[in-house]
Amino acid sequence: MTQPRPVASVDTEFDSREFPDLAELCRVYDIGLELIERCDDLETLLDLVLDEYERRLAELPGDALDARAGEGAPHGSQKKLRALVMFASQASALKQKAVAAGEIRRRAAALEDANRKLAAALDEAQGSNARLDAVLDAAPTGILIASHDGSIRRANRAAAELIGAEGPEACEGRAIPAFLEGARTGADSEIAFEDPAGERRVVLVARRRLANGDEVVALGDVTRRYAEIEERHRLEKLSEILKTLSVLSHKINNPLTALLGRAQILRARQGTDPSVVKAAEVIEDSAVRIADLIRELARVVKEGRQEAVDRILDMGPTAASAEGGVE
Amino acid sequence: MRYERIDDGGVAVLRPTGADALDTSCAAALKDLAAAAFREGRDVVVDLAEVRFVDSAGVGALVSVFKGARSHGRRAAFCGLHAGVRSVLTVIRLDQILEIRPDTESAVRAFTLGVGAGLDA
Repeated sequence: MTQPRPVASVDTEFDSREFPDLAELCRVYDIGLELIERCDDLETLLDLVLDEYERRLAELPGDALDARAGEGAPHGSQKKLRALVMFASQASALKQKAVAAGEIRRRAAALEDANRKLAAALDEAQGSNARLDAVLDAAPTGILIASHDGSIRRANRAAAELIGAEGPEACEGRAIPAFLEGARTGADSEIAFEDPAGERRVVLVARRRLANGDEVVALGDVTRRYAEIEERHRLEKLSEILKTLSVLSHKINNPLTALLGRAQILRARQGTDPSVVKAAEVIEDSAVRIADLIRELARVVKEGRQEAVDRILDMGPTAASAEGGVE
Repeated sequence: MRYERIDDGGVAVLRPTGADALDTSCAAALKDLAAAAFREGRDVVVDLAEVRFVDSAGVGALVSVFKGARSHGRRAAFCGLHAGVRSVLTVIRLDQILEIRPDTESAVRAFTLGVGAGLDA
């Protein structure tokens, strides 16, 4: 059921005037058009309001604002005072509106600025992340990032290869490999293990706890370096053995030469007992065989030493860096 | 009426004394004193504690001081308002326009700390 429309009483004053334009509206409400037009420019608005205040106050007689003068004030003064009060009300409302608009603009600008900075920071962070991904991917050292429950959050290519995964993505969600259990968090360790292909691998492991509870694990594969160092040590030992053999052959050769010479003299001497000659022949034959053996040994020693030295020289820089790397 | 001026750092406190009315007879002097303080690069606090009546010229002087502050890039505040003075400013809405503080100390502190700077003060 619709409510009856209120009906104005006969005593109610209705202002039925229509305002053809804004200038007319301003005249009726005693407010400057410029004030309205500048109400979005707070500084100008306030200057205009203050100028208008000054002008209108100057037009008032001194006692127009005095409550003691009351209704006794001249009609013209009362009219000007009413006009001032009306202007002041409108100006005050405009100022409040402009303050609010200014605040909204200020906050919007601050928000926009913050958004711009945030977007720039995001771009920068994404760029940094991409660079980090590229560096991690290219790094020869395996890097794993594990959450506090021991599952892998992220891994690079080298780490994936070490733990036998298809690629970095295949590592995500997996448990940290069992061979890392021997490496203590906060310390550096050297771990030897058998990789999924059954080959013995040696890795240097550094485990560090991050501030958020995650853990970063660095894996340096030193298997090849260790093999090179072992080979170098073996060749050095071989070289030493060959050197000893060389010395030994020299030591044997000197008395052997004397022995051979004496046996030959004894065999050649006229009138020597045939049994002595026979014995001298046996000694001479044996000495010759020993001398052959010594010569053969000397040749082997010479060639072997040269080969060992060559190989050590060939792998020298690699092995040296390997040792440094392992250190 | 005469004026006392007390400088507190970068703030000049102007205090009308010796009479209870800020009217045509002393409004111009207030404007001049404030203008001098602004030229020195000081903010101005007008302490109206002894003023019980303002006429249109007195109110005009307050508006002029406030305008002067703005034109010099300084601040002006009005404090110690008696009820009669406050009521006049309220009627013509100048309480919404001018920076009004309860007392000198709070005005000086607001200036020193930069509190309420700007148009929404």
